[in-house]
Amino acid sequence: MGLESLLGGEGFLTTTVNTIVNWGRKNALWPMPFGTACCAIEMMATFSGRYDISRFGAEVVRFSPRQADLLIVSGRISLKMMPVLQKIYRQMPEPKWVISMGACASCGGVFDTYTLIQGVDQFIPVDVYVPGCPPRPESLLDAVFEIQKLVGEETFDSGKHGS
Amino acid sequence: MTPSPASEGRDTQVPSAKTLKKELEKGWRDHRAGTTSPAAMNLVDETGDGRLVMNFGPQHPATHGTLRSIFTLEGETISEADVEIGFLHTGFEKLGENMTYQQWVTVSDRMNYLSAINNNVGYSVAVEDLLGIDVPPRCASLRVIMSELSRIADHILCVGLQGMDLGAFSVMLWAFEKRELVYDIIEAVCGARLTTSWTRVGGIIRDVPEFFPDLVYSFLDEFPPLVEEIHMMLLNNKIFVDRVKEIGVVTEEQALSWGITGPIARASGLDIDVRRDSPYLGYDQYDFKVPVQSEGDSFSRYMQRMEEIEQSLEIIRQAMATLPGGPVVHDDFKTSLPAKDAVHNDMESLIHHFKLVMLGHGIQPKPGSSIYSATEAPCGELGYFIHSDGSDTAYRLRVRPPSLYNYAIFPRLVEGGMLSDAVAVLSSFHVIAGELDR
Amino acid sequence: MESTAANMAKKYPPHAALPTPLQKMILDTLEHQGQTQLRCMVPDHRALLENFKNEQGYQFLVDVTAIDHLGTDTPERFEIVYVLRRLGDQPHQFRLHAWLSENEPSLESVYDLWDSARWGERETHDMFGIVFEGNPDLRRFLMPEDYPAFPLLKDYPLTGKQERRQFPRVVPRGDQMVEEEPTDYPTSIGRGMHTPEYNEEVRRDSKPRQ
Repeated sequence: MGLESLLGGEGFLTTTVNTIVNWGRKNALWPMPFGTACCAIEMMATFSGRYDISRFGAEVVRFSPRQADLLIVSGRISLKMMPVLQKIYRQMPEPKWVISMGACASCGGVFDTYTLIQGVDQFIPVDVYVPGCPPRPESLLDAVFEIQKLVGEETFDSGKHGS
Repeated sequence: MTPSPASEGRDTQVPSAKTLKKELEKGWRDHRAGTTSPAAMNLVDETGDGRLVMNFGPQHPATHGTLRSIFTLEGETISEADVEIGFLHTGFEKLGENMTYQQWVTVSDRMNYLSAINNNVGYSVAVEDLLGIDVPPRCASLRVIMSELSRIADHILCVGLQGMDLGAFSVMLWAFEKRELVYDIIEAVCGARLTTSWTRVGGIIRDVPEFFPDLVYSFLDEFPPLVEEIHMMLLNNKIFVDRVKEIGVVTEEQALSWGITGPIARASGLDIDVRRDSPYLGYDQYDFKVPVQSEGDSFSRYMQRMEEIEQSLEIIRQAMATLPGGPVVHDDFKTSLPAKDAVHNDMESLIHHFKLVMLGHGIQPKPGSSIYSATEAPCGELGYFIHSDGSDTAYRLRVRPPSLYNYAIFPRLVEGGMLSDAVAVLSSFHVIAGELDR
Repeated sequence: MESTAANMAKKYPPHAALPTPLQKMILDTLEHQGQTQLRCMVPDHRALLENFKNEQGYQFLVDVTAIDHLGTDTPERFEIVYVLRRLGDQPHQFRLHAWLSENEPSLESVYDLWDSARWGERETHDMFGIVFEGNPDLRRFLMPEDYPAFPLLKDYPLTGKQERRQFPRVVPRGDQMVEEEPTDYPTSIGRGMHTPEYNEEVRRDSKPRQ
């Protein structure tokens, strides 16, 4: 839309609108779990009762990429799965953020073998990396806080708002 | 290269209803007679008769893990089904040829990640069988207790996910809450919640803390009410019962021929259990029943898992009551590390420690020896076939995954059924992709 | 403690009950920790397995796998392993190993005897390249269909031959995510996608044309 060109630059109106929009976005992230292996179980534990992620707004877990904005890649990504991951990532509408959860998704982890991708950030853009094998649910919650901070710093012309 | 149905163009010419009905009945008859034609494996739809080829893809909430199914649908009935696996293949067996025997245990608990301790125990039992050593009785009892706790965690998760797939979401949340109790115990004993790497060849990493009996006894008090609650939620729920009764029936002959083990086989009437048939770690001294159902449908698999949970609780009670004292590590320093203060003060212990830790030395079984050793994992019979060439890494480390042989029958079961029944069958099968693909 | 499997192996040796022509096919018998292992050569395995299943009642095929003995002095390169089990009154379990030459790595399938062989053989084919003739479904299994190698062979390295880097890269260009073919193989450890320079580049590309 041409809204930002009408408003032009960093005026008072744009920063207020920015703040409101970012506040809405970060407190209502819709995660999409791309769970493959062990990290997926810890992710499910984070979504469950004890380490509740819905306290922080990310309650609506959407398994359809068209309806989600936070992709959590949890688990090892193999050769066969990488095209699937890319397809899912491209199907998500803007703005979208990616958490690479666990050692295997971030850098290949324990497994330096012929079939595992040594880090998904070689092929899709990643915002936050979570170390651990698997990371504790509190680490994943910390990653969600980092994403919320990133969302809070977005502006109209950062290229993420999908004009 | 086999063309995949998702990328093929189709020429849609809808045949008459009579032709369609005849073809459907013929396919169903062939399926019932066990003669499903190889056309079911050929994914190119050449007739162009209005069927829909649908991808039940590797990323889907109702496939437990990365399992891909390709269904040919006529309306809502599945006329042909094909599965594709391998989306989580990591090369564990090739890693086994490059890692020493002690190192590979860290890889083993990434296979069945819901019950990692069973994988660890299975692997250590296999290597100890290969070497011909015995663990001390305290270590055996502790391994049994933790294996059964892990088995309870796996079964309760399976039941929870089965409920969630069929709409009963609260059951999954309750199951996860009680699984956290098991995680607390595992974390106190092993140090990690999920990927424990708890056992070593010849023993376990360290003895349990002093408050371990309190933990286990409080777990045994808090957990059994959950079994009753889940029964109350699901058995009186007509929707659940109708959706799983007589769906996905596996007969006993099919279970025997397809190599199915574990709760699925026992729910079909095949009475096999590695803990009872070829006992390991002292399972023959515990008095437990092996429940067997007879119908073989998804409902019996649900009941089978709930009954196995109760039997596991019974085993834990007996093992805690008879837990002996003593060391937890086999006392031969060809396999087990000596105590640290002995290493710092005693020359012989230092040399043993050096030889075990440095590559090229360490655990070296007899060259040319091989063994197949099986333990009862929650999914079925987890077998390890190890062939050794005398060096400190295995020459061939083969994992016999229970989920692979359990899942092979899945396309046969869903053909002729409805699409929603495929979800019910898959969730009752409890296939774990990490173990399937390794 | 001696397991029941070891006891059973002593009482019911499987090759003793074979008829004489089939017994000649068994090259040797090995025993280790109470487990019996019979060895034979490849075309004979089918007759032996039929006898074991039909006459001696080994109804349960536990596992099918293979070992690659590249470079060591064994009769042949590949060794196919069948783990057989009998249930019931006389439970017993043993392994049949069949030597297979690498010049002609194909042997007859046993899928009609045990259905568990269908996927067992399919996986062995996928990992070693061994062809099981007669198996109705011998596609690639765990590896992608156009994967150029068989991973578990001893001359294939653990980290592979760069197949795992050959994917396009999804980058933002303007308001779309496009795929960009790799020109080299960059290592992206420590290289984030949201550095200021990168954002500048994206912002520059995303201005509408005047």
